[in-house]
Amino acid sequence: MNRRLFLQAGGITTLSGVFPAALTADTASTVIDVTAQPGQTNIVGPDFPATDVWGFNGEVPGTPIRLRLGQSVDATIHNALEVPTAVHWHGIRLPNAMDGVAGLTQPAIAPGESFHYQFTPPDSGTYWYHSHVNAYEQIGRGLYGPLIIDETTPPVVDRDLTWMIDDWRLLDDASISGDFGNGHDRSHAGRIGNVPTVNGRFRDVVKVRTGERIRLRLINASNARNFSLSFGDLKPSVIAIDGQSVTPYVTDETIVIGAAGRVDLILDMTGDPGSKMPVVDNFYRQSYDLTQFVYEQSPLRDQPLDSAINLPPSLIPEPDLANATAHVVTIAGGAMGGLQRAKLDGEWMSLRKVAQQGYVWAINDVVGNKLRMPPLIDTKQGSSIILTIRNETAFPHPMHLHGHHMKLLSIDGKALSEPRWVDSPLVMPRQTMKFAFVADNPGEWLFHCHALEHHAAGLGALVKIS
Amino acid sequence: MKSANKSILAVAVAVAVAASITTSIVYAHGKKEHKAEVAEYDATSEVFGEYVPGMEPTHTIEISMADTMRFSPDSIKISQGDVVRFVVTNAGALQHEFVLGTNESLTEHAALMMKFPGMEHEEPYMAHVDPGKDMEIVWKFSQAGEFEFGCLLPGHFDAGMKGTISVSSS
Repeated sequence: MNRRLFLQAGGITTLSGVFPAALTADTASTVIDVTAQPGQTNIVGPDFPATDVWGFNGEVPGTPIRLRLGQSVDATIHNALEVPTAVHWHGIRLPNAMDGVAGLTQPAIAPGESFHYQFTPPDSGTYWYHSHVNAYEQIGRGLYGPLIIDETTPPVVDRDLTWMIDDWRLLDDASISGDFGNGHDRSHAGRIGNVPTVNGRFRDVVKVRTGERIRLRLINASNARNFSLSFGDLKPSVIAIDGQSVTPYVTDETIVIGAAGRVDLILDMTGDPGSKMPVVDNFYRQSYDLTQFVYEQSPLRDQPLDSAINLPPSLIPEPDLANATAHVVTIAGGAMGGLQRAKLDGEWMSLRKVAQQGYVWAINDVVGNKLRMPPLIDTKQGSSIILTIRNETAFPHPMHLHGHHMKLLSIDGKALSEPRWVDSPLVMPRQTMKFAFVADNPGEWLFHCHALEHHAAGLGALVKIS
Repeated sequence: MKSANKSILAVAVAVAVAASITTSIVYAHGKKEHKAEVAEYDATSEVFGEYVPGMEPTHTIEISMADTMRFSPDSIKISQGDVVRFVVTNAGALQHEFVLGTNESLTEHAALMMKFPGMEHEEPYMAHVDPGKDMEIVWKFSQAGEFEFGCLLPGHFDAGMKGTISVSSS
């Protein structure tokens, strides 16, 4: 073996100015240049035409943004669409001016213009970025991408996979149905499509090996579809919800991910070589295969790894429950909701009149028909809030609070054995959830249903922290 | 309402895709039985070099891969025209792989691996090595330039599992 001629230690190269790539990843800032633009992608396979989409860099999902905890994001978003847009960094506790809600925290990015976002994510975990202008159409056409903040010392896994799950409403020629924001979707379950995808592909396969350990980051980018996934014989360990770590627990139950929610799993692939295993969604009446694991013939290892899978504890400040201010928020309206009247622009009127203007939902009897409204909660920075959300409608609502995570304390009066941080909790019909959080991030923050048609139809409010 | 059309599409798509799945599965790691030998591939040419079946290595370089998401060595200097036999050892407990390329090709490929975990992934400039095993590939560096290698398994590349190859002109 002849090594002396050409095998040199890394240090020599470093001196000559060529830094190992690993150092690049440790620099303080991640510079990103992303363009919102039309694109084409083959969602439903070779037997159908490609689908015209809107995507970040023309792709669906958009270009993944990935950095290490402690690094800052320095992102320039260009708008090459014919409509205005803006980018919201979903689940990141960032300064209000960087939150990307056009019309509230910034002006929309006009066609041909760009906007510069700069912030340092304070938490590691699984997040996403998406349009926040006419989101029910722009997300529905594909304007979203993964945003991953790596832990300083992540658990060791063979592969770290991200599945952005979406739900498309396609016509027979595989083009996107243009009926965004129609009255039925606004007043019922939101836009539920007919083609559920993983990373932009319908019924793709995921090749795995027996014994392999996978970290699976699930991100629900659907307009309104919620998922309840089962993984066959596998026993997934849940390690994070909405980006925040939980004490890892193995579950036999399905993994529920509401619209905009995220769940991180550790999967030890225990199937036989050569076997196949579908991942099944059964949230709605009809279950179906979302995707399929296909085991390769050669096993990787006989026994699963036994290394630790726990993530570092969350860094979010704990609310002071003894001195917290309590707020009760009641969601009402929608089809079969029984709401008779509500306040629109400060004026009481019948729901029929409200619906004539395109709105059907109310929070504490107030229709959220604008972004800038008298705040639902108006509080001082640093105060602790106990927030009870009561869903008195016939539909589930994934309720997203911008700029904060809330600690889920109880469901229907039953305390959780381990309260957990969430930013997009799915509140089921007739369900009551109790949360607490520290209002530590100053600004006017949106609090809204992430079933995007619901938000467009009035299910939104403002939390003001000064 | 268009619900009738939609369900027709969903069913039609399900059938069409199910049919294509059964024919498209190829096992990318099927050459593990011959780890002591160099697998044979078709001739391949890339900007970072080439593979010709049966070519004789002029040098051998040992590369070790670890679960710290690092290669050792992580920088290599060679000369244009060198035909290198890479003996790639996986010293860790996890899967790892050694993939030659340019900064652009590796970054792009890593993103694809992340997005489409079912994609084909087997070329003469790649070595997928099981824990505790080793594997060899032979590659000719026919062009001078700055090239890279990396482990493109999702999460590994982003954790810094990459290195550089500097090929000086002859």
